[in-house]
Amino acid sequence: MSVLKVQNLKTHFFTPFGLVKAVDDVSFEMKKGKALGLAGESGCGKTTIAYSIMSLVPNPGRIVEGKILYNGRDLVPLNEEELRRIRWKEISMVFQGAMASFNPLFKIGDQISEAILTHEKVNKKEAMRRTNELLELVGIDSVRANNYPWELSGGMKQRSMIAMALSCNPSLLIADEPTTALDVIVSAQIMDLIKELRTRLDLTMLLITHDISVIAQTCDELAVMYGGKLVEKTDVSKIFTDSVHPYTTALIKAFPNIRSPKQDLEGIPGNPLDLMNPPAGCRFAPRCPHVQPRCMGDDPVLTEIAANHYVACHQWEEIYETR
Amino acid sequence: MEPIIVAKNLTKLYDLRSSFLESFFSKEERYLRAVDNISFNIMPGETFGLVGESGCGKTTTGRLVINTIRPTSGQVIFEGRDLSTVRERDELKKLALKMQMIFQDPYEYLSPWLNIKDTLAEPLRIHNMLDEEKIEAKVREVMETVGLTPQNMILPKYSYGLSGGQRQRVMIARALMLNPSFIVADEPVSMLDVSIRVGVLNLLRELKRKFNLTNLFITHDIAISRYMCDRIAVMYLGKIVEMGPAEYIINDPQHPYTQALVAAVPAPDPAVKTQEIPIKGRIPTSAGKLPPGCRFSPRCPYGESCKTEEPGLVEYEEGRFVMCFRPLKK
Amino acid sequence: MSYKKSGFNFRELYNIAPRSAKAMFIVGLTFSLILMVFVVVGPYITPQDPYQFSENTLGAPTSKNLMGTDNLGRDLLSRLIYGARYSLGISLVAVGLSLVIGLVLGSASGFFGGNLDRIMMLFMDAMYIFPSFIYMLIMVVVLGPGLWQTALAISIGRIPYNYRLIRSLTISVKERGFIEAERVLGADNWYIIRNHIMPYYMSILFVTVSLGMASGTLAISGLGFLGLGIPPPTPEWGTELAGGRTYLLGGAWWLVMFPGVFVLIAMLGFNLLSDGLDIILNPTVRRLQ
Repeated sequence: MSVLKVQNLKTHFFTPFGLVKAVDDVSFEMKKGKALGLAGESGCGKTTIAYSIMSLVPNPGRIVEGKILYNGRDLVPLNEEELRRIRWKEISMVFQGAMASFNPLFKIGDQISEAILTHEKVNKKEAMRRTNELLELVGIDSVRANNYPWELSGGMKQRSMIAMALSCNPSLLIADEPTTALDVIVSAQIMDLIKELRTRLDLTMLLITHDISVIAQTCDELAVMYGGKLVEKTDVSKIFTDSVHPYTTALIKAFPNIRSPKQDLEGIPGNPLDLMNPPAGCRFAPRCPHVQPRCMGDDPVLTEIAANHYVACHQWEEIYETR
Repeated sequence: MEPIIVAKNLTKLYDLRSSFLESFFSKEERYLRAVDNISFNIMPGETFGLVGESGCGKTTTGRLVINTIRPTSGQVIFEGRDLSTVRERDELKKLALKMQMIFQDPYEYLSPWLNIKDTLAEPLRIHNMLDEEKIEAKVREVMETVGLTPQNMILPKYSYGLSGGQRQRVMIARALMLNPSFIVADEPVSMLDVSIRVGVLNLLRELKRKFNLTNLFITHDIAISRYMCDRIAVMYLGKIVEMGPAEYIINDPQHPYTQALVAAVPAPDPAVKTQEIPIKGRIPTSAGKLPPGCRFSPRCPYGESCKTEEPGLVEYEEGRFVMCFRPLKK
Repeated sequence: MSYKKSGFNFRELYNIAPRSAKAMFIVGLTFSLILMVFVVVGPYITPQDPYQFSENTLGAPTSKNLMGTDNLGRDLLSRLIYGARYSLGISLVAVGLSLVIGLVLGSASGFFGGNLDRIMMLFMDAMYIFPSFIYMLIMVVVLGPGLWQTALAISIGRIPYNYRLIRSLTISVKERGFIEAERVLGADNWYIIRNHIMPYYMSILFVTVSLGMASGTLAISGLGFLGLGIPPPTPEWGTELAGGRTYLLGGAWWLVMFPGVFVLIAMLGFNLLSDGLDIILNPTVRRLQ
């Protein structure tokens, strides 16, 4: 049963300097209870997809085409009133830079309760009770509800953000770079928390990050984006061994693996894409080690090459063979 | 061979008393022990790593070594000379020709008002070296070395017109302009995208080989420190808790904190599950009251006597140091 | 330094500015320049002698007296053009003076900090409590009416503002990462101040000057209106306005309206100029490049 189905989504930014095609014809599906990790460099469009799903795309951006089907219902044409009923209650989000997302003037507990009171018809006492329950759920002593944001550490703020996102029992949670600004050990603890919450609450989750390891450890499926397009999507178990798209392979190889003997790493040559002037043809072509003349002129389409394994690459057969 | 850098009992304390009045009236002293009595050597030609999470004092140590802040006590000795004795303006200037720094944030540490050409020319102009023609030639030479191309497109741009990876290369190029022999790299890749990091790290390795540089490499990422460094020192709350060759420490960490750091690194291979992290709680600050005994003890799964008695940094094997009683008992 | 620093090139900044900013800048600059011309060569370009009495008292605007005449038959337009050097010229002197003082004190305070900074801040904060107009009134009462006295009075009122502005600019730049990087590269304090902090001021100062002109002119006219500024028969705009009030009910609307229009054009010109400059010189606009 698919909870979220994104079909041919195009979100463009109409800036005074030119048109930025942040999300350019992206389609994917999320099944109930599964976690999909969306990976890519900054500027590849992954955060824009999250904002598109939440209908929070900032000016001068707009969804220009496509459908976002939540339990079969298209979110794109809905008006603000209808969207408000869906936001936070059905789909909620932990934003990037959660540390800075709390209002420093109010206590944490009050801010979480406010989220509950805004969306649900409960009284203040009930909201506080739920807040305390949520804080315990994310591993924070409920006494902390009386603290102000500056009294909490980075990890605790992140947990509180997660608590706030879960406050109205959403069925879909979007987490945008939940571990990026955190220290290694705290980061690992947050990842454990996310894993635990997923199983406990049967959450469907979209995890956005540039760090593939985080996805490898917490998600079921991986989707890789480059230059506003989806270039590969498959089960997480297959990425390490079966990745086909050269960009995915490069991303995986970009990690100094601490558990295997030391070896030289290879970076990806060239510079990240300029979204205002994307090249004709495959967007990764200028940096691709497998590039062929065809790739420069012809933009590859996402094709299913094996069970639940999609790739957008002209050279996929050659790469598959030489594995 | 003499070490290029010797840090001896290096300590940096910050006065936490918040106001002018409080420091006047309050007898009690409250300090942030950012760096607490650490000692280490850096040998010529080696890359020495400082690893730890935020608040451990590694950044402060880097600033002490590069002499932008002064220690509260202890010394930094560079090429045989105690840096605190260098006070003359000319002598300080000459230091810049020998030791340079690469900073973490390639946006904040490049002037938004200078184009790349002027940014790179700046070190030469500060020291009144070379005339305009030769300056341009040198700038281009260094850009070539760090792989900043196409040159003519980049030179007139400003820092915000470049990508993160390019900006960091500009930062590196700028540090190289004066031909230093010692470079401190403070988290040079943590603000870059994962796929860009490798390129910059490999560049740093290559530059080290090419110019025979000595490096102090500061990072919170122990996996990167293993890739880049010959020896590393793991820091926690201002102290060095383990020190030795990088390879040994990663493969066989002795201190419980180091063990936790290594265990916490997520593997890109989903088949390899991250191990249980054997510690609890979050990082306290090194401000105010510290626990008696080992400062890691509140989070440590082992240990009893160290809760009251603080272990020293002991060399339990040749070249390997640890601040913990456990490895010594084995 | 013999080379030209790249980031402070006005033409470049102007070209990439948004159209609205360019429009504001051009309109503001035009008005301001016209008025400045009046200040400099006013006496030579008045259609008639501003002090010349005539029989045609309280005459409505005609082709001969484009803005009418006052109660002594003097041509209003000539008087107002001539008056520009008082209303604006004094403002310019006052702004310049307060700017120099604010710059020196503010940059020292911001850069060196410490007790010097603390003491000066206390002093300036104390001054800042009172509306600047009060200082001007006090100064005028103490020093008496007159050109230099008015200039001094207005300049004192403005010093705390300039001081605080420069000081906070200095502090905000001083802590930036690239300044620390300059130190590591071997630059000493003076090099940093000369090459990285001073140029930063330049872009802000043009804005401050034009804003200062606006408020200065308003202050002078205000003082004149209250009868405290430059005394008649000098045709300062505020004085003229005050004088004209008496005849308003009698139907001589031009005696009140035209001085007001001149003040308005001055205000509009300087404010538009400063707003336009603010956007054009704003480094974050460049970041969109």
